[in-house]
Amino acid sequence: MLSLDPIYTILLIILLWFLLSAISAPFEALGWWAGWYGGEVEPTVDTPSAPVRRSPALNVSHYFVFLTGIAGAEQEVYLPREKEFLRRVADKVTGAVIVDDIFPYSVINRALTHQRFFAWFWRYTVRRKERGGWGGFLINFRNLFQVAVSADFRYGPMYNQGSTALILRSLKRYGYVVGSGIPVVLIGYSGGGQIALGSATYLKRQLKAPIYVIGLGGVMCSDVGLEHIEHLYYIRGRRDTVHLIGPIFFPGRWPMMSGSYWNQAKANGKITVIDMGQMRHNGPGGYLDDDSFTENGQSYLDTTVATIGGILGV
Amino acid sequence: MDVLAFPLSLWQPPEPVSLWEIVIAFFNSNVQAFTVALESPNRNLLVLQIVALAGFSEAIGQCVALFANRVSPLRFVMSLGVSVVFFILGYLVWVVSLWLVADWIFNRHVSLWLAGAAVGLSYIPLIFSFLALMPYFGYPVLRLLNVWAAVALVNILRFSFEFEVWQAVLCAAIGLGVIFALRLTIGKPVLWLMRRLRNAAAGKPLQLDLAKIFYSNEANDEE
Repeated sequence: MLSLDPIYTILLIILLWFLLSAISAPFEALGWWAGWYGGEVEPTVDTPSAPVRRSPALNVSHYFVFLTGIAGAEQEVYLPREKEFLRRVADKVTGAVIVDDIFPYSVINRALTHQRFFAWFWRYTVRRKERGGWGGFLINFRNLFQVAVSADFRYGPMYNQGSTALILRSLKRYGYVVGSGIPVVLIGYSGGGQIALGSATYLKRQLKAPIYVIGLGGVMCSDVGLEHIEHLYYIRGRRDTVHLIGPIFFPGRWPMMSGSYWNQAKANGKITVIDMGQMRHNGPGGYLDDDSFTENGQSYLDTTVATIGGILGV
Repeated sequence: MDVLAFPLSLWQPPEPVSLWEIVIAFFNSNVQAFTVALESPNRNLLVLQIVALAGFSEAIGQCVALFANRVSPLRFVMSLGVSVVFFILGYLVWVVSLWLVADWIFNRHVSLWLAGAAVGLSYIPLIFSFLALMPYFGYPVLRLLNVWAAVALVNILRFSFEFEVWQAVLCAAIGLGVIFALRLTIGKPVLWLMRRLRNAAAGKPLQLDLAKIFYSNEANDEE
């Protein structure tokens, strides 16, 4: 009979959960690529509860594709701060169409709360998260593994082509005409930065239009996508510890790896780092916080929106 | 006669050892696991279990190639089975190669079974090859497991073949060299047959160079 110390038991359960989450992470992308789902892709949200501007402007200057951070659990952007951010970006960049119905941590656009077997678990987790409990940690961790899948040299090409298919589908729904040459701006918040870079290679091949990536506290590896985008704007705050996952865990971002895609892009002036002062990654004091203020009295959220407007020259 | 009968009545046959016990023993000491396995009445089954499990685990860990080649679920299972069989065959070739090198070059006359047990037990780290599935960190973990298995092999060879460290390393290196030489010469038809069987299980010619698959396919952008 095994008698285990409660602390060891808890640690063992956490370790097993970690390993199980890690080894199961690539299977959705692999199954999609192999056609095991029979081309099944979840529909996009048609009637969002609080839509960002949906009808394309007459003279569309840009298409903005927002790829939510690893805290996302559903297709529709449901975090209040992200919704407000997108509304203000829409107001600021009047000629842009904003695409916000992609759940970038599932190549079949399946929200965690709509999964086949574990929907009940994720619904419970989302409820815990909304009450400020541990749910957020589990969701972040699950999605972070999908970021790792996108960054993996074995799985990345499959995952990133899946993401590309989702982005293309949404762009077309929003009126994008392939071949029009209208620039596409991928805003990747947190882990969405990697998804944006990962899909850029294939998106460029399909759209034949300029592609810009804005990594808002982006967790990004040294991705081949850097060779295919026009420019990467890497927005980061000094108190943001999450974006540091990139430069620490992805060897291609280490300065000593001079031949990596990242360091080559940097040397070629393709990466602009934008310092956001004392901003954090999320929550109070984060990039999207409207209740924290810079020294000149502008809210962090407005500062972030203004920075993005500045990138686009508006 | 009476004198002999007393100790015999006290003698208990060794208990069969479970796979789990041998794995735990291996974590404590490679050599301890080897001695425990030697004394176990189910030692043949034990070694076979270790090798088959390591083969299955490695097949799972490297199944990305099957997905990349868009193999159907049924073919996927068949391909895993074929991989396990090939893994066991590879193990047998490795055992014979080491045994012959030890016998001819180092003049160590041990039984073939002993060589089989030594190599088989060194595969214990490979039981965890399925961890290669982990995104991003999986591949380095697989390399570490391979290094661990190589170190374990040297340890066990030192004990079972009474080698010095350098002899164990050299024996393993020459054994590997023999296998490479076989692959390039008389092993070619066997490799050809194996490739045919692998493709037959998958139901299509498998492209193992993933870059060729990914860069010759466009994303399916249609709904």
